[in-house]
Amino acid sequence: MVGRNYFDLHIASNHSFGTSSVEEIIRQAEKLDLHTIAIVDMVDTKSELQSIKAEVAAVKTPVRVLVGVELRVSDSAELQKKIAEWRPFAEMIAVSGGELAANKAACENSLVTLLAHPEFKRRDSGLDAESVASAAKNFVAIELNFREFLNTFGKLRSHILSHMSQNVALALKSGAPVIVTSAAESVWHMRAGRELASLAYLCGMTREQAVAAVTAVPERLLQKSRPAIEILSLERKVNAELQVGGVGRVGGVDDVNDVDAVDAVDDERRR
Amino acid sequence: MMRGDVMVNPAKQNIEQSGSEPRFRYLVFEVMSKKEVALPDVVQAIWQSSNQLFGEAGTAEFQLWIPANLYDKSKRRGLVRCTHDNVEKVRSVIASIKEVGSEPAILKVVGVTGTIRAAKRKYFGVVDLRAYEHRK
Repeated sequence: MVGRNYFDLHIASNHSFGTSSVEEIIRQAEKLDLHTIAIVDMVDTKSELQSIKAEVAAVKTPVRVLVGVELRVSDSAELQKKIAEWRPFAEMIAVSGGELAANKAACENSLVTLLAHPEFKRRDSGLDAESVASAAKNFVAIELNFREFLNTFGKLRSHILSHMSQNVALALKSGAPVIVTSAAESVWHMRAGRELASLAYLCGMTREQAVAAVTAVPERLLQKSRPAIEILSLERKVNAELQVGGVGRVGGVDDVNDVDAVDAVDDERRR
Repeated sequence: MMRGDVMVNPAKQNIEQSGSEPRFRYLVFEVMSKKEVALPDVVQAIWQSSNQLFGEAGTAEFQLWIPANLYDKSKRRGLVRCTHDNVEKVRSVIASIKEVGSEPAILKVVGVTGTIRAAKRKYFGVVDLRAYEHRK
């Protein structure tokens, strides 16, 4: 049988909540046969992000390692501002969920890679049909956070599983992507890909859908992220050149939220 | 129940009605931890995790069995038997183990087989002499 490529797109290092270093995380990922991991930290400055990137570059490994940021926002405007600030530097954007406004804003923004733990500290699942439909349209992944499952038991774990199941049911109905991540804060919270997939199975997915949540779906998400970065940097470059030439911003896209809008501007310019 | 009726074990009745023994799967796991862990602690961790996640009635359906003679101390590999339709649930049981004894640990499933013999051959490095004889 040909081995599958397993992805874990949310691991915190000791640059934020985590307790393990970048190197320890990468070594553990090797042992767990993960193909791609993303070290996603809640950092304040770009130099911190650069130092994480430098640490990743210093480790020789067959594992593909991405560096992303986790953003905590209160509304759509703040998210847009932070994305414009971080997107050129981070390889993926995760939005810390829990607040209804943050969940909704993340689902509506196509430059967001994943919405982390939408059910965090909530009495409901944190998502409604409208938000999940937006997530499907913008291809924003809804995360099933393994850490939440691992670190709880009894009543609280039952509630979390129930909320995750509700989100999975909504996502399956509207075709929104669902991924499972370890959200590990220590190397001992990391899990192999197939074990992560078992959480999706517990939340009501079929075995095939659960496996896709740690293989095909995250792979597609990363394919989506790449062009978005390139389009944004191209847009900045073109605007800078136009401003230098004294023409001003022609057909600029203020809404970095909308990749389609950026595409339309590019097409118009080519014509 | 009338006097003279024979009490039938429902589990056995199911087997008799279906006309076959339950089909099993064997999950081979590997313990990842800093220090060495003892098998009784591993067994305890698996049962505790299963009871916590699925309760006693749920765990009963899995028909779990962790043979002590198949724990390879050097490779840190062991085997869990379960019914064939509960493999994913048992995988989640194994995934939700955080500690073995008092040591932080990860149990990684390295493979699933349909027979103990296949598990021994593929994951424990046991050479099947019968296959060798057939080739002769």
